[in-house]
Amino acid sequence: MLINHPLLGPRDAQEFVYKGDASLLQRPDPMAEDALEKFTDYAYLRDNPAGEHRELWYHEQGDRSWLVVTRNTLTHEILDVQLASEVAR
Amino acid sequence: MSRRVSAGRIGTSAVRFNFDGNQYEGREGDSLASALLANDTLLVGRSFKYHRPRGLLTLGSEEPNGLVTVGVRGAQTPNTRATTQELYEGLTAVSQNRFPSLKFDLLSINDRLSRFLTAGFYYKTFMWPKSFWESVYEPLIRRAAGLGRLSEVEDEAQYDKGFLHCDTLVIGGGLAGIESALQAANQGKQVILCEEFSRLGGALLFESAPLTHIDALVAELEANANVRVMIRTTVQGAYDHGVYSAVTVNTDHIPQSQTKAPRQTLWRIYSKEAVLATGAHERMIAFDNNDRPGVMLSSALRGYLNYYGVLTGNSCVVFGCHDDARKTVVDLKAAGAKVVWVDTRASHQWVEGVESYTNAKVVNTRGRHRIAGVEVEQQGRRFWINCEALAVSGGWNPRIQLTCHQGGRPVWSAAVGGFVPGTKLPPGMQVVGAAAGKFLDGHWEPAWDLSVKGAAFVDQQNDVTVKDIKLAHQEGFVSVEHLKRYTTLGMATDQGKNANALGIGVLSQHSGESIESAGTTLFRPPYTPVAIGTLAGRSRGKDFKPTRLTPSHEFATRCGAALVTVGNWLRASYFPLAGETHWRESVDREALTVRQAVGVCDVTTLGKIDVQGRDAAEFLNRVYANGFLKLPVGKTRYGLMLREDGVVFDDGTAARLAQNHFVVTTTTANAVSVYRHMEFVHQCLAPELDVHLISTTEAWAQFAVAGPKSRELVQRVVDLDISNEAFGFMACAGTKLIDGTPARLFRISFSGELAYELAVPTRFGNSLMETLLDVGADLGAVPYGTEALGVLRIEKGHAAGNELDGRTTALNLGLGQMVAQTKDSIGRVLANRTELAQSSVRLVGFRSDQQILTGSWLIPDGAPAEQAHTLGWISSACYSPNLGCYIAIGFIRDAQDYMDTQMRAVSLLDATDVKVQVVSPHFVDPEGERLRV
Amino acid sequence: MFKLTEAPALHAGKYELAELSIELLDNTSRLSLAPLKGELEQVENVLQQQGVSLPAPTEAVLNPCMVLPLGQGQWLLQGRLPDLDILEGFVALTDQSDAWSGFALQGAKVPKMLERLVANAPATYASGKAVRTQIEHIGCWVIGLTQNEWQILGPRSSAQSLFDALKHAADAVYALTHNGK
Repeated sequence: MLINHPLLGPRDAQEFVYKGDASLLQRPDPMAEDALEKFTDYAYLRDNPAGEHRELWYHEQGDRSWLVVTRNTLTHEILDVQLASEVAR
Repeated sequence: MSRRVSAGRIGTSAVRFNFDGNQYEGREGDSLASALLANDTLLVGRSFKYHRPRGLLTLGSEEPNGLVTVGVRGAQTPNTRATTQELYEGLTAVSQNRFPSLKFDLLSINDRLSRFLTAGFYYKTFMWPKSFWESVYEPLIRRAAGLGRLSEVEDEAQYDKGFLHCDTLVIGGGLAGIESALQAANQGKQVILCEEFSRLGGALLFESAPLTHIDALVAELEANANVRVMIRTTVQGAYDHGVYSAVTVNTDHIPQSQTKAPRQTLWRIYSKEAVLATGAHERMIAFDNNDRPGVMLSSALRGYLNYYGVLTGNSCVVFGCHDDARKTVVDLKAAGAKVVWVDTRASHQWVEGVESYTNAKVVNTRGRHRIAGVEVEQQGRRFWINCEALAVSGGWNPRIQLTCHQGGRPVWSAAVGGFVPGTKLPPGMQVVGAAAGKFLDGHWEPAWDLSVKGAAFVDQQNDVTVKDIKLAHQEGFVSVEHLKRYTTLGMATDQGKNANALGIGVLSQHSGESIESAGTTLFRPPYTPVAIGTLAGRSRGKDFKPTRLTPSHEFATRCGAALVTVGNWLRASYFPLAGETHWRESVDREALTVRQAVGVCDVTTLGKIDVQGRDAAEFLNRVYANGFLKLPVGKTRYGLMLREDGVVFDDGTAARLAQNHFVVTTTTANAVSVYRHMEFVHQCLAPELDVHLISTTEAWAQFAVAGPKSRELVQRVVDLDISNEAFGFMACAGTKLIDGTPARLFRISFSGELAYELAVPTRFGNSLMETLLDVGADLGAVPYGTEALGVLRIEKGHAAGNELDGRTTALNLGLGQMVAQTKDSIGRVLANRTELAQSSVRLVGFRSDQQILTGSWLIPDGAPAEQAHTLGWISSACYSPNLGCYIAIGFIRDAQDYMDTQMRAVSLLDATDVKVQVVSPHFVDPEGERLRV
Repeated sequence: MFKLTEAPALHAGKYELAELSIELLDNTSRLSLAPLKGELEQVENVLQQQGVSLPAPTEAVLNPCMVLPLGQGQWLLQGRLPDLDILEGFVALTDQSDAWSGFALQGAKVPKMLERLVANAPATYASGKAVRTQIEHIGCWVIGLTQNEWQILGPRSSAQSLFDALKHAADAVYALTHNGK
């Protein structure tokens, strides 16, 4: 599988480590009243779609960028790749 | 008799080889198959289940019967297809699946028992009596089953890998492939063309027509700088995003003694486009006893004649339902053979002087180890025709396997009479030529099951007959997917190349369901069998993973230290002195010496991460559960890192060398994952922070110098006042050694003794180790390894990887207070979950006069050793030379109730049951006085 | 009085075959450089004054010292390092001299050797380009210098494993060129 790194161009997926759903970018407010409930969902609940999935990949054997990849879990087609640090801002 | 009648298109020099103990002679350019045929050896194997005598069916990589074992000892390769094995001087091969010999195979008794060995027989038998399964049936089946034998010695060949990039990958070097490659190359594209065979030309090589046109194209191709031609290269799989795997056979056609090249190379090919030009292969027709040696596919029989110059029989019957059979009739006649043509169709284009029967079919064959005659039925009348060979033309199967690898489904084409690629192809792939179902000529009428008794073979390699297919259907296995698994049709090493389409045709004939509707099973990589060694490449033995050597490795090997693998690192585990014969002697001595004098240990392997930036302290506050904002410059602090779910992830230290500069340490095992996590927090959760991370594990050699005399020793080498007043407990500094070498010093202790960690740039590491021991000789300084390191930290009660096992929390470790509640950090919120916050499990210590095993379960005195009674588990254990007894640390629930009581540490796996006393986990210096001296 | 001595990353001479040589480069100075937030322009100016520019993510600067893109906003400098004292407080610097060991590859057959080791397209390590990738599970750099000259940087601790991998690929290329029919 190839991931089109926004800065480096297409790279083999073997250079990356997969973390999981990009919903991890939306970390709840830890000081809020309902923090425990929100954090439980954040840590344990996933949609696991058959189709487009936004997910986090880490370029461990390359430039160590975290990327947000939109990938179709059925066809493996990769529709979009962004730097996580840009998305997270 | 089968013999060489012409030079064909191969060489003329003689090549000697050995098959089943007999010496033969072939020609340069022969395959083992053609050479055997040239020597009138038709019997090449015995079938898998029934042990029926078998000969070659094909001349290519789809061969189901001609499976032999080539080579001996470390080069022994079972299940090699004789059709693809190129002949070389001295080649040694033996047939398989027969005892004691091909001609006299005892297990051919299976053939007579065939009515009991039909499809799925093993689901209905070997069940009674129950005890017989393990003691009688299974051992017998194991002996009888399997195809080919392993040498059971290590594969002595070397294998290799490689990576190629191109614009267009052309798969198949026949006419369609060559034309596609030239077209792409002339458009300026970078082209790779892969051909399975040892030369380009494809199917045309095996026809009688001259090769002038294709030879010219090949010459043009090889002269084109944009094309890389790879022969003996099979494209094995089509993967995501235009990634393909291919295997090049480098040396299987050369005597091993004459080459040092890797035997095979596994290529990963990245290509935007691919052209599948793999052609098609012919299929059989099912009639009784269609598997006798001498029965071959029509195109194979004429291929042996035209390419290898071998005429399989002086008298041949050509039987088919396809126009292609005519080519064989013509070529055989031209070679002087007596030919009879039997055709299922009502008419065909006659060949002058050839006896022909239309509206006729072959219904049986006879002959023991080779075919002697065929029985023909025409308009209700049956008669025998004597012959030495039977060529069968049942239609064509386009080689569409790779089109399925990305989920494509082939569709039946009635016009072609075969499965052709469906609409969904691997991205960027197009299919051309015969592989797409485009033939130059050929009128076809279906002919599937012509059997009378049902002993008509559909899958020759797995011995699946028409009878099996009918039985499967009768028992309700009606879908093609079920048919395959129940009968094992298509599951042999030829993966259905010969059997699938025929089997589906037979099924369709009996079920009444059209082939279009029934469809076909799909294909997965690899296209042909691949040696495990090829997939492994260099990743074997010591090359399986990289080895990381510590800076003091040279010193350690020079002293004869015992080495241990820790992940990819090679570390010294202990340093035996002359006279020490058992590891305990060395380890006990090292652990005692550290507590009585001073020891030096290479701790370079622990992860070191440099953290700099205006928000460096704030960043550490986020990743560690405890606080770092107020850590003074020049001080180090223990850091506890949690996972977001509140479980402890790792621990280490952070040293503040300057206001905006920290050096963080991690455990050896988690160096990589902690760094990854820190980058995640920085880039994904807190990109607004001004912080910059880089690993410095490699850049600095770091040594622990521990023991009551450690200050004295370190003071002799560093150019810094390290008195207790000037450099107190947990101090840190960037400094230098007395000789000017840059250095970093940290006063941290893992052992519970007064201790320092001294770092210098890696190139000086080995020299520093030697110097410390030399300079500290009068102090009694010794080197110590990972074993003593472990004993010391267990005696201190310091948690390490065994305790941070992915289940334990800060509270369980007795570090609950370290999780600051007034600031946000990873894991703080979920660490406060009721289940975790109310856990009574705590880290405690254990003493015993017997060895305690790690992993033991803790059971109260008098209770049975069962899950329901467990109180906890032992996480780390050792002999303590400083206490003179065995100790351990571990976790138990309701720890406060069990302090100073007795319980048992039980391991059912090791059959141990040891009495232990529950104590504090801090066996040595519980108040930490020695650290602060 | 003691005087610490330096050890090389690897005890190995130059490995030479026809049109292909591999040699360990010893005693190289290296530095990692990351401008603090907002300081990139200032850092680039100071570097420019000394003739040093920062390359784009897929490229390498070769003169007057080598500069490689380490990661987002981070570079590795190697060779004759510029004077960076004036940037104290504006950059995060670490000494990387002993974090890496370098190998010089020379010869017309080097590309055939590299295609057995590096999954990335040859264009990514052509002259003036650098790619950070892996060779036999070892994270490393492949840098294109001039025609027929490349440099490979790998972690110092794995120098022996990397050298073994390079030699093996070189041997394979040689054997296939000279034996294989």
